[in-house]
Amino acid sequence: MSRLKTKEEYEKTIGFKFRRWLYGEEDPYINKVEMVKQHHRHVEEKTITERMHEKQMHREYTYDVNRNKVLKTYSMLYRIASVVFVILIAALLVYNVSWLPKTGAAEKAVNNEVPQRYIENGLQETGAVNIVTGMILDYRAFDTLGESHVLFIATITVLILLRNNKKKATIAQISDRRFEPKNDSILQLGAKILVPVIFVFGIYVVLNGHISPGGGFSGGAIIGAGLILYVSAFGFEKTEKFFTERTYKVISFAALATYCIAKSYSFYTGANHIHSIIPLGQPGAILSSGLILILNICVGMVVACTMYTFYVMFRKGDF
Amino acid sequence: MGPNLIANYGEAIAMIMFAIGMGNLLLQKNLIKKIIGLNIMDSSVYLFLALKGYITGRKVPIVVDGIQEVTAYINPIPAGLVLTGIVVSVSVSALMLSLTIRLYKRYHTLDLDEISLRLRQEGL
Amino acid sequence: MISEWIRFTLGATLLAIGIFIFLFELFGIYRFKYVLNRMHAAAMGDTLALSCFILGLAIISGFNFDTLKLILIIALFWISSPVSSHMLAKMEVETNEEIANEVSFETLEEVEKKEAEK
Repeated sequence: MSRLKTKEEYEKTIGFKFRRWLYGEEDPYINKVEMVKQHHRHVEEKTITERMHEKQMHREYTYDVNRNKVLKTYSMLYRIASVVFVILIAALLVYNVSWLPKTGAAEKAVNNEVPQRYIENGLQETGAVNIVTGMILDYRAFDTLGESHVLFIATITVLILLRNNKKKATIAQISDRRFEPKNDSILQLGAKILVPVIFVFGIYVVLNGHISPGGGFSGGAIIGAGLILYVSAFGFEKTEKFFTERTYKVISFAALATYCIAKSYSFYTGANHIHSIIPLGQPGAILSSGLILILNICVGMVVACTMYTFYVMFRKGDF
Repeated sequence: MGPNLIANYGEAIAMIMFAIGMGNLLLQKNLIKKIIGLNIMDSSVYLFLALKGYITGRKVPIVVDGIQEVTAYINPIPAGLVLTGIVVSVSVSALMLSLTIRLYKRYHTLDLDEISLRLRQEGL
Repeated sequence: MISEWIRFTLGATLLAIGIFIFLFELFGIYRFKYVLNRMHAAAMGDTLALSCFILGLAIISGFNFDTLKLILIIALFWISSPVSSHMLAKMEVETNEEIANEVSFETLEEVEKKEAEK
């Protein structure tokens, strides 16, 4: 029916009369005209499978289904296997621990003649009241030298990995203090109070390494923490006056070289049974125990510079 | 189970901590959390070593009043070993964190799966 | 004898109070959803609970050289912990773009304007 004319107008036209003649005057809904039975719609099997395959192909093309299935199975298996592995390891280790000698027992395999020698003769041979310091800086000085070199090599690697290209990348330098404290007065007041105390305490721990608990590593870490607090409160303009990359290199190299020379002398005299000219001093005094004080200072300087360099490289990538 | 599990509860806790750290290392996707798991494993080893050196009723190996008998002090050797371990752990953590920063600058994500996906897409 | 008992009881009470505050702190950290609320709960333990602990320990050990060291530890924590909390809160305020959904606050300029109006 044309919508341009109304129903009454349409009923008067020739077209309408012709249609009425053609199709019959009766209304189909009042069951006068016979309805044709609908055919069953037949679709071939092959087309269905083809269509499904097409859909599948599209899915695979878009989502990489096969691989995702493998990945899903793999990650499930991985999770289950790792949990089982961790539980197995924990059970095995706890089982082994239950067969170890009791904690705090004196008759253990580790309490043999080596610690006995260190405790009984350590004070006379090294001059250090703190037996652990005497052990790690005299009997086992090679070990500590290796540790200092491990720190040094780690710092050099971090310097290589994180250093900015000075010609190209200025983005990092510009955005350095975007999320960092920017002249925060509360932090600056706290740093003003705390930094001197931290420095003094760190120097005390380094210098008293052979008398009291502590030593180069812990004291150096404390001094490094003080430096980090200082730089985060006052910014790089203040620290760059006294600490640059060159300073780090000079201090580390000088400390490690001093360590090497001092211990070379000590090992040379010891191996050739020559009497060392370095006096051991009065046990318990600050200036005692021969080379240990110097070595502690060297190690402390290396550790403090290393901590500060780590922080600076992680934050800015440049001194 | 052996006879000393109750007496060795500290060591048992250290071992469970070790397993927790290893689980973190295996199951976390975030690289920073993996590094944290490795540090938990380190700490458990320090705890174990420190407990191995401890002897009940004895003091820290710092000579006081000229007493130099073995029965007065605990074993000093594990303390030195723990010191070595801490230093190496700090170095390894710094190295891994700097590598992580490089990865983040390249791929802008810390998710290991995502990074390996990008690697595969790049054909590496 | 009685004075020692009183001292011990006082110290133990302070230790218990410290433990309670730590428990509340832990509860708060897991109960609250927003960062600044959690930080409020955490800062409570750093200052009040720790000072309760150390005060209790100082009372139990009696007044000697160790007490001075313990008081120094309290001073260090009272200086450093609020500063670090302040820095964390500042970081949150600066980096969270949808902070207006979580809290209502006045910027520094608004406060200054109000004070000028007064």
